Amino acid sequence: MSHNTYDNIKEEVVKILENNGVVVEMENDGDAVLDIAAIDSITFISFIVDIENTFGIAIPDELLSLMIIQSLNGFVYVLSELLIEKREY
Amino acid sequence: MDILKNNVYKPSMFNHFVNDPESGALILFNSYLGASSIMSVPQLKKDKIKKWLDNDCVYKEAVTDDSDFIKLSRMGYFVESLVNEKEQRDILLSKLRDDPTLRLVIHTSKACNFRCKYCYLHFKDEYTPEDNISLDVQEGIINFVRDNIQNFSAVHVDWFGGEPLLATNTIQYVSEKLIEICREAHKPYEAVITTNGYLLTPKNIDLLIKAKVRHFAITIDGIKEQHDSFRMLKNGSGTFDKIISNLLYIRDNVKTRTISISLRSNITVDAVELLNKYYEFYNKMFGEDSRFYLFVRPVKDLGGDSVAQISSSLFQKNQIDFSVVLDKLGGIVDRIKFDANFMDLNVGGIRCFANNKNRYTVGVDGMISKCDESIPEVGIGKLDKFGQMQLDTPKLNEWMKPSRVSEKCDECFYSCCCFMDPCPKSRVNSGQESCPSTYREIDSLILLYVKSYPIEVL
Repeated sequence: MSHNTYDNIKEEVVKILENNGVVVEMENDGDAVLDIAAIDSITFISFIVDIENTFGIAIPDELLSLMIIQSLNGFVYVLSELLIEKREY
Repeated sequence: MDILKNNVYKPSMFNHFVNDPESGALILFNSYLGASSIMSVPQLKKDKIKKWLDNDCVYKEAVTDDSDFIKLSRMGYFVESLVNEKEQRDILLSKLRDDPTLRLVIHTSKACNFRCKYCYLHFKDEYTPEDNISLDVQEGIINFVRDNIQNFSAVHVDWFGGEPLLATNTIQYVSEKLIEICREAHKPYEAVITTNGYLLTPKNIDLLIKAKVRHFAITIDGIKEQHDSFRMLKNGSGTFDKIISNLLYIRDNVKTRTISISLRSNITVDAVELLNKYYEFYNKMFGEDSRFYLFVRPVKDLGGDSVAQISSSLFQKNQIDFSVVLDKLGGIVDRIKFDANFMDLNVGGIRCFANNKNRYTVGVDGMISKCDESIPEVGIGKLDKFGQMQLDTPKLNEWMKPSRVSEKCDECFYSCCCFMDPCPKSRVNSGQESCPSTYREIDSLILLYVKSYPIEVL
């Protein structure tokens, strides 16, 4: 996956997080550690639904937990892998 | 290290225990802690634990080295003697009532394509456009949310009716607007729908998923022969096959794991002997897909003209306890679970949202009520097309004020599940406190849970 595409995905993810009321504070290394304790179930599911509708994928059961968004870069990486898998099928 | 900080402990007032006849274990439940804390006490430890539970207090010196007591007190089955549990419960209730999520129950249509035998609502023979929510009311909802969104932390919509899928244009239009408002205000949005499932076609499912509907509450009464005898179209035709076909489409084609589908069966006394067949059917069809779960309730006489024809089959008329259904299901439960029933074991699980501060039902004509229903008896105001909600304050206060409870209610172990006000409509209309029927079935429900999910063993 090109760096450009990765950055596009990341930008979109940040926008979706913010649209759902999640505060994203970027750190010097380009990552953001999200305060998942402050994210309730409505927020989390609304965010995931927006991700699925925007990128046209379904997040598998085993990834549907708040831990998946603890690190912004971590989530973007997982999302990127899912998108690659989808294209391969 | 001194783990027990206090000198005197007491059993929580929210404790309840049940003997499991199969294993001989003692099953512990606490309504303040909810279903996930249900615990099994093996036979060997039963007498010891029961002795503690039966005493008004437990002294630290007697249990300081007992790891079982330490575990149970950490979980909350025993609390420090000076803890005011009623106060803790009341604080919890306040938090739930003051939930900053805006919850709107929107009746898109007061018409219905079904004529269920036990339905208490009265429907006209012919469906007319006036039965659907007007454009003015739709604009009123949108304007209300737009003008007030900053007062809420999130927006939750429950599409209701009649049959809400008779007005899918409304669902699509209003959803688009509300989702946009929430996006711009940086607030999350979600929706649920209560539907008979007949019109849950692939096209409508797609519409609803795009409208961020994430829970589908569908009523399908058991297996075909039962369902089609109770839930038919206006012309008397059966509806089971179509609904199942729609559900199978969801199972096989809707990939998102963010949705859940509860399949509610309203059970009569006659259906008890068919429970095995009922469960086997749904377990086979949907047991591999964890998005689907079951929900059983007894058919009740809620009034209306139709229910009299099946009166002899009702549990309440036969004075048969619904526990027999839960006991039978406990003997056969396998992959598909009764998660909606298990909500009754959680904090506030059987509590009605009607007295939530930020919760309103909007009828097709803009009538506002606190109850799910949109009938004149429960109306408290009106929403105009500009989004102004005119509320009758004395009527609103009747719904919102804390109920006066009897000592029996106040001392009840189940009071964290029902918060002593399971049906505000009943309280407002009759002045009587109501005890949820789940209270009478609680032992059977707990044992069904134990048969369904692994639980911790002391």
